[in-house]
Amino acid sequence: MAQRDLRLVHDAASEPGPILPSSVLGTLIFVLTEIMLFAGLISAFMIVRGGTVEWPPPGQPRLPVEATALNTAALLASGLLIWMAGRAYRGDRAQAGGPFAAGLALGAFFVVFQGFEWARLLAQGLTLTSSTHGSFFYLIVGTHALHAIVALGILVWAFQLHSRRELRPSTFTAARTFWYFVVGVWPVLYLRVYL
Amino acid sequence: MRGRLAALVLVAGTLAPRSSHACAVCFSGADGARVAFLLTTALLTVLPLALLGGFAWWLRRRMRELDSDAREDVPVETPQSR
Repeated sequence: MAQRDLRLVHDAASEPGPILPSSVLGTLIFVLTEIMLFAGLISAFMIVRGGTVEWPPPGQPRLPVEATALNTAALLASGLLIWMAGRAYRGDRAQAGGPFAAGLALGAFFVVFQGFEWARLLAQGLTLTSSTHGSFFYLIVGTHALHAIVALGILVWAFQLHSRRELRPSTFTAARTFWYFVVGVWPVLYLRVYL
Repeated sequence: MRGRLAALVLVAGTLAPRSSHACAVCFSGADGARVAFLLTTALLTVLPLALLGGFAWWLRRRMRELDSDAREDVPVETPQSR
C-alpha cells in the first residue's frame, strides 16, 4: 500500500506540465486573430489611400502627429514597465508592484490622451462620416482604443489580484501578453494612419 | 450548344480584360492603389503563415528547453551511488 502511495506521488511529481498554460494559449490564439483583423483594416486603408491624389482629403483636418508621437512613447514605456513587472514577478513578487502600477498609469494616460485628441478632431470636423479619412481613422484607431481599454481593464483586475497576493503567474502572463499586443500593434498603426 | 456558347463567352471575357470589372475592390486604376493592393495581398497571404510558423517554432524550442531541463534533473548514476 505504501509503495503504491509512493508511486502515485512519484507519478504526480514527474508528470510533465503543459508547455503553455491554457489562459496564455487562449490569449495567444486570440492575439493571432486580432493581428489578422488589424492587417485587414490596414490593407483596406492602404488601398483606399493609394487611390487618392491628396491625403488627407481637402477640407479635412490634419492628424496630431507630434502629440500622438508623445503618446506613443508613453504607451511604449508602459509596455516596458509591464515587461519589467513580469520579470520582477518571477523573482520577488513584492518588487513587481512598482513597475506594474507605473505601467498601468501610463496605459491609462494613453487612453485618456487619445480621448482628448478625438474630442478635438471631432470639434474640427473630422467625423466618422465626414470622409474616408475620418471613417478609416475612427475605425482603425477606435478598434485599437477598444482593445486598449479592455486590456487595461484586465491589467487593473490583475493588479487587484496582485495586491491581494492572489495573482497566479499564468493569469499575469496572459494579461501581459494581451497588453504587449496592444503596445506592439500601435506603432504600426501610427506609422500607417498618422504619417 | 448552350455549353459551347458559355465557353465562348468565357473565352471572350478572358480575352477582353479591359472590359471586365469583376474584382469588387478594383475601383481605382491609380498606380498607388494597385501597388498597395499587391503589397497588402502579399502581406495578408504571408502573415498568417508566418504567425503560425513562428508559434510552432517557439513551441518546439520551448519543448526542447523543457526536455533538456528534465534531463538535467535526472540524477546521474555513478559506481559509488550503486
